[in-house]
Amino acid sequence: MSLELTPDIWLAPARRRAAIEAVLLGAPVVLVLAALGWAVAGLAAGAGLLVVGSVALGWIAARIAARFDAGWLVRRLNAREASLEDSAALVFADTVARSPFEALQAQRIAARIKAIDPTSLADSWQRGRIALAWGLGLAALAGIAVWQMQERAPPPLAPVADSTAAAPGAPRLTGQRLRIVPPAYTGLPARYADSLDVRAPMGSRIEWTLAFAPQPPAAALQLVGGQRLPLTQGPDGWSGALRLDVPSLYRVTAEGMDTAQPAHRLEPIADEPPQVRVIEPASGLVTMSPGQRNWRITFEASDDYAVDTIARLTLTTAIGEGENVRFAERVQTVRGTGDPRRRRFVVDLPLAPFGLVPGSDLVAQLTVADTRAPEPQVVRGPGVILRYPAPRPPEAEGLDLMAKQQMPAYFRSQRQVIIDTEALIKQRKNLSADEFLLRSDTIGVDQRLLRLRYGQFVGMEAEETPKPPLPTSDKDEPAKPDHYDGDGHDHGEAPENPVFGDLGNVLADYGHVHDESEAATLLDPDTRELLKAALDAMWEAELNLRTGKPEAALPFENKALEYIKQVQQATRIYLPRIGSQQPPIDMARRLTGKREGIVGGGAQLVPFALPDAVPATAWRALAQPGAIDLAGLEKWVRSNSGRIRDPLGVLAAIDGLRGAPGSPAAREKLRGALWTVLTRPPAGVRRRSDGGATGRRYLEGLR
Amino acid sequence: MLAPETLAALLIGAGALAAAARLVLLRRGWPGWLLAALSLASGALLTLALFPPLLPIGGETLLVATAETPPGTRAGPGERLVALPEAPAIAGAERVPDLATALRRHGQVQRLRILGRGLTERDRDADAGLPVSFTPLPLPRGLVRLDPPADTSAGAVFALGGETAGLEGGTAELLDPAGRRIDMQVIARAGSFTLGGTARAEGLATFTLRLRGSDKRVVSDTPVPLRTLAPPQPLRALLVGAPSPEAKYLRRWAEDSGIDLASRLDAGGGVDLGEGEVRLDAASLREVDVVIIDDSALASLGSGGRAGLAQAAAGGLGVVVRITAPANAATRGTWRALGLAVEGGDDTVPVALPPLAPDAEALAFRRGPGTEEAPDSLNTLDDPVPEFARWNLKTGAALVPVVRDADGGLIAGWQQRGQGRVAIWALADSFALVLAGQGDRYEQWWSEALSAVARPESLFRPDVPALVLPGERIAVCGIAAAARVVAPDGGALALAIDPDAGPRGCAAYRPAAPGVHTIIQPDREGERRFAFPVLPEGALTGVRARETGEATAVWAARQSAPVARSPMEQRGPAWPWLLGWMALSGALWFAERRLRARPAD
Repeated sequence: MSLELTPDIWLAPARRRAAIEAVLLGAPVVLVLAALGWAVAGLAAGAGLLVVGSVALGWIAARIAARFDAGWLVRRLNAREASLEDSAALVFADTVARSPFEALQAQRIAARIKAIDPTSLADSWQRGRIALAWGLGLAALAGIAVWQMQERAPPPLAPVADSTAAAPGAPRLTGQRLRIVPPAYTGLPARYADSLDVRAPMGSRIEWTLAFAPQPPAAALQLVGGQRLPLTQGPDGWSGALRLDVPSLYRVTAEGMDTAQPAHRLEPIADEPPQVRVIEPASGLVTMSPGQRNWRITFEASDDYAVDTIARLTLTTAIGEGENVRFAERVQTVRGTGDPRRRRFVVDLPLAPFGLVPGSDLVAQLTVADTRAPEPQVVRGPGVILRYPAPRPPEAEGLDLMAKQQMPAYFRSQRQVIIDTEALIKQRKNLSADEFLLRSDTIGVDQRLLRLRYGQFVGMEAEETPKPPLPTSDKDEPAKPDHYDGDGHDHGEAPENPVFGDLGNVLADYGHVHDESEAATLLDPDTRELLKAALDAMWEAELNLRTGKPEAALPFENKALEYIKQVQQATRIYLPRIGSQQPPIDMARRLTGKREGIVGGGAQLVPFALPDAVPATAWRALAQPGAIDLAGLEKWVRSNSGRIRDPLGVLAAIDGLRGAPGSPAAREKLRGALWTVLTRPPAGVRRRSDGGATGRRYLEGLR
Repeated sequence: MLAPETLAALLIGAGALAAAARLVLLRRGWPGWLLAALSLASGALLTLALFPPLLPIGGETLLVATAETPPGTRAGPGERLVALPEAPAIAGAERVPDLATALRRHGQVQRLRILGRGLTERDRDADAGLPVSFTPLPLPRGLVRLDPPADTSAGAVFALGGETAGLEGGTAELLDPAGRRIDMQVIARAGSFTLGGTARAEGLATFTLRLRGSDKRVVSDTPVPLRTLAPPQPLRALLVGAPSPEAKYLRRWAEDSGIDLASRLDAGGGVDLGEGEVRLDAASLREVDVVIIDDSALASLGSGGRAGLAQAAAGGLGVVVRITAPANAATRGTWRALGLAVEGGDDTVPVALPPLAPDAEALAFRRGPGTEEAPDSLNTLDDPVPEFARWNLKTGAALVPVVRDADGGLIAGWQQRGQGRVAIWALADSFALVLAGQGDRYEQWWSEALSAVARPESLFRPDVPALVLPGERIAVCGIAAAARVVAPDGGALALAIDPDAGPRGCAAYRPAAPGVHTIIQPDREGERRFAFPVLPEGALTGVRARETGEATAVWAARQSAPVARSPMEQRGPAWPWLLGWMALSGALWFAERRLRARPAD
C-alpha cells in the first residue's frame, strides 16, 4: 500500500512561518541589546552581543519550529477539514499495525489530504505583533543613537567663576571648555577638564575653547615667562591648542582686557619608567641544586600606563675558574602576560645548552620597555644569579690549616689589562693624543696596582702602603686621583680602592710579610722566581703604558700572564702567624721622644651652606612692606625646581604678586608658598636672657 | 547742743507728762489713769511719727549683664539691671560704660550678680566692695586654651599646647604657613593636645591650628604666631674630652649651626687632637659661653681645675657634663663640686624615642626640601629606630629637665649655679642618632641642652604677650625711654613708660589693627627692632571666653570677703505712726470731752 504520506510536506510551511515569525519578533530585541552594548562598552561588546543574540534567536526559532510535529498536523487537519472524518491520525500512523478497516479508511483520507494545500495549514502571519516589535525596536535604536550623539558632542562651554571685576565694556571671560587628549600610547580617553588648571600626562594635547563677552578683536593664551598662543575664532568660541610638555603657568588674555587675569597651571605628569621586580627566585643568588635541568625565573614589570609585551632577557654565563673565565652573553625575547600595567614574564630556562660546570655562574637580567611614544623608556632590571657550586676545598686540620687554597680573584686582571690595551690600540685613531695618553696611563695604573699586589707575595716593599688610620705626620698630602670615571677601568663596586683587590686580600687580613724580598719564605723558591719574572714583565709593561706606548707594553703583558698562569700551578701559599698590621713607623721620629707636630691639621669642615638664601631673604622681606626681587626669586625657583615639590605653586604666587604688587593677600600667599621651599637649617642655639639687672640681683640673692 | 530729735522728744514727753498729770489730777480713779496713760502713748506716737525709727535697707541686687547674656533677662523685685558695653541689647537694661559707673550710680545696692561670660579686665581692676555672685557659662565648643610656642632658634623644633571643649574624638592639626599639615593629634576626653613643628629661618611665621570635630568637619582655624630668633653673635663653645665620635659629630653640628667651637681632645701623652688654643683658666673661661666636658676629662682636671670651672659657672658660664662611663662615688663627687646634685648614673636604661612625625608626609613637610648632599628621600619615617641607652640618674627637684625621651626619662637637665647653669647629658653615644638618619633629632637635643645653659646675655627682647588681639591693652615690658611702636599701616606711637611699674620698664599699648607691629628702641648703636604679631579680631574667642570666665570667678570669690561698706539704714515710713497718733489723740479728745461733760461722781 502506497499511502505513505510524510507529514513533513504539510509541516514545512507552518514550521517555516513560525521560525520566521520568531526571528522577526526577536530581531529588534537583539539589535537593541547590541546597540546598547556598543554604546556602553564599545564596538567589540556590541558585535559580541549581536553574534550571541543571533545564535540565541536562531536556536529559539528552531525550537519553536520543532514544536510543529505529526501530532500537531493531525490535530490541525482534523480541526480544519471536516471531510477527513477525524481520521487524519490513521494516515500518519504506523502502517504495519493497521487493521484492514483502518487501512481502507486511511486510503480514503489520504486521498483527501493530498488535495489540501499545505500552506493553508500554517498559522496566519501575526502582522500586528511584528509591527509593534519593530516599531518599539526602532524607537529604542533611535533613542540610543540620539543619546550617543549627545554624549559624543562636546559639552557646552562651562561658565567661568568670575574672580576679577572687569571694567565696563572690557571683554570678560564668560565660558570655557578644556579638552585634554592624552597621548595615544597611554590608552587614556580624552576628557574635559573642570577648570582652567590642567594636570595631564606629559605630551597630552590641550584644546581650549573660550568665550568672551563682549567679543574681543583678538584673544590669546599668554604663558607666563614664555610664548604667546593666539586663539582663533570659531563657531563655538575662541579656540587654540597646545602640547603639554613643560610645567608652566598661563593666563587668558583678550584685546581690551585691562585688569590682570589670574594665572592657571599647566602641569604635565611625567611618564615613569617601568619597574622590574624579581618574583621568583626570592633571592638574587640561587645555588643550583644537583641534577637541576631547568631554571624558572618570574619577573614582574610595572608601569604607569603599559609595559611592552616583548622584553629582552640577557643571559650571561661565566664559566671557568681563576684566570680562565669565559664570558658569554646571549639574548632572547620573552613575552609577557597579564595586565598591561603589571606584566609577568615567566622564563623556564633549560640549563643544558649553557654547559655549566662547577664554579660557574648564570646571570639572567630582564630588559623591559614601556609603550611610550616616540621613544619607549627601557629599563634593565635586577639580575638573578644561578650559581653552580664549586667543590668544597678539602678540610684542613692542624698544620694544614696554615696552608690555604689560594684562588684570588685578582688573578683575572692581567688578562683584563691585555684586553684593555688591545682595545686601546684599536681605538687609537679615534682618540686625541692627550686622551690616548691618559687612557694608556690609566691602564698603566692598573698594571701597577696588579704588580704591587703580586709583589706582596715576594715580600716586596709596596710603594703604595695602606694609609694609616691616623695621620702620623703633618707632611702627608692627599693622594691625587689617578682615574677618571668611565674610562673602562672602573672596578665594579669599589672602583678607586688604593689597596687593589681588597676583597680577596687574605694576606693582609691574616698575615704580613716581614721578610726581605730575597728571603721571603711565603713561596717556594721556584714559584718566587716565576713571580719575580712576572713582576719584571709587569714593570716593563707599566713603564710603556704610562709613557703612552701600549703597543710596546703588549708583549710584556702577555709574558706576565704566561708567568702568572705558571704560578697558578703552585696553589699552596703559607701564611705566617703574625698579628694585626700596624701603621708604618716614622723612622725620622723614632726613639726621639718628641711629639711636636704629631697631630695633623685634621679635616677642614665645609660649613653647611643653606641652598635657600634667596627664598629666605625674600621670605623675611615679605614680612615688611617693600619691594621684592621677584625676578631673582623666579630664577631661583626655576633652577631649583628639581628639589621643590611644587614649583608651579611658588611660580604662581610670584606671578600673583607681580600682578598685584601692593596686595597684602598676594604677599601673604607668596610668603606661604616660600615656606615650602625653605630648607630646615640645623637647629641653632638660642641664648637665654639674663633678666636684666633685676634678674642678676635675684640670682645673686639665691645664693 | 541736743540733736533735734532728742529736743523734740523731750518737749513732747514733757507735754505728754503734763497732760497726763493734769488728767490724773482732774479725775481720780481708773478712768483718769487710763487717760493719762493714753496721753503718754499719744506723745510717744507723735515722736515716732515725727522721727520714724531707723530700719536697715532690705538689700537691692544689681544685675550686671556682660557678653553673651541671654537677651530675655529681666530684673526681678529688689533687682536692678545694668548692661556693660560688651552685653547684647537687653530690653529694660540701663547701659553703663563700666562697672564702676554702675556702682556709683546705684550706691544703694547690696549685692552684685554677674550674668553672662564675665567681666573684662577693665572691670576687674578694682574691687566692687560688695558680695558678688557669678556662675560661669559652659565653655564654648572649640579651642578654649592656647599655649603658643616659645621663641625658637632657627631650625629648632617647637611645641604648642592647648585645650578644647566639646571636641572629644576630633583632631587637632597644625598647618605650616603654606597650609600643609605637619602634625596631628586625636583629642582625648580631657580635651588637651600638644603639637609640634620645626622652625626655619629667623623671622615671624604664622602657623594655623585647625580643629576638627569627630565628624572631620573643620571647627576652627586659629593663627599661631612663631618667632624664630637670630643669634646676635655666635655662641662660643668649648669641647673638652677624649677623641670620640661624639666629638666629631658635635664639631660637625657646631660648624653647621654657626657655633664657634674650640676643642681640646686629649689623646694621651700630652697629645691634643683638638682645634684652637684651649685653656681652662679663669680669664679664658670668661670668654666662653658654654663648656662641654666629658666625665673623665672632668675628673682629670683636678680639684683646682674643677673649682675654677665651678667658679666660672657661678659667673655665668654654662657647663655640660657628658657621661661616658658608669659613675662611681668619685665621679659624683666631681659633679657635686660643679653644683650638680645628681645620684645614680651607674647603669643604663633604654631610651624610648618618640616618632619624628605622625606620618611620612608630615615628616617631609617638617624637614622641607632636601639638599643635594642630603636628599629628602635619604631617611624615611619607616627607617628602623636605633636602640639607645641613657645613664639612669636620680635627680632632685633642683635639676630642671630640658630633654626627655618619650617616657619622660631624663636625657639632659640643668641646675642653677650662681649666674650660670650646669647641665648633665645622660644619653650614651648620642652621635649614633646621626648615623641612624635622625640627625635632626641629634641637633635638636643638643641645641636644647646648650640653649638652656649657655651664658646669658642682655638682649633687646621686649616682653610682649604672645597672643595679642586688636583693641586689647597689653603691657610692653623690657623697654627703655624713647621706644615706639610702628603699626602695620606705618603709624608710629611713642611708648610712655609707667613709673609705677618699677625697673622693668613697662608701657601700655593698645593695638588697633591686626598685623605685624614693630617696637623700635633707639640706643647708642642705632635702632633695635622687635616685631610682634597682632592676631585678627575674633581669632581667640573661645580662649578669651574661658579666660574671662575664670578670672571673673576668681574676682568674684575675692569680693565675698567681709563687707567693706557700712550697712545702710534709713527711717521707715512715718504714716503708720501718724495714723496711730491721730486715732489715739482723737479718742483722747472724745474721752476728755465726755469726762468734762459728765461731772465726777
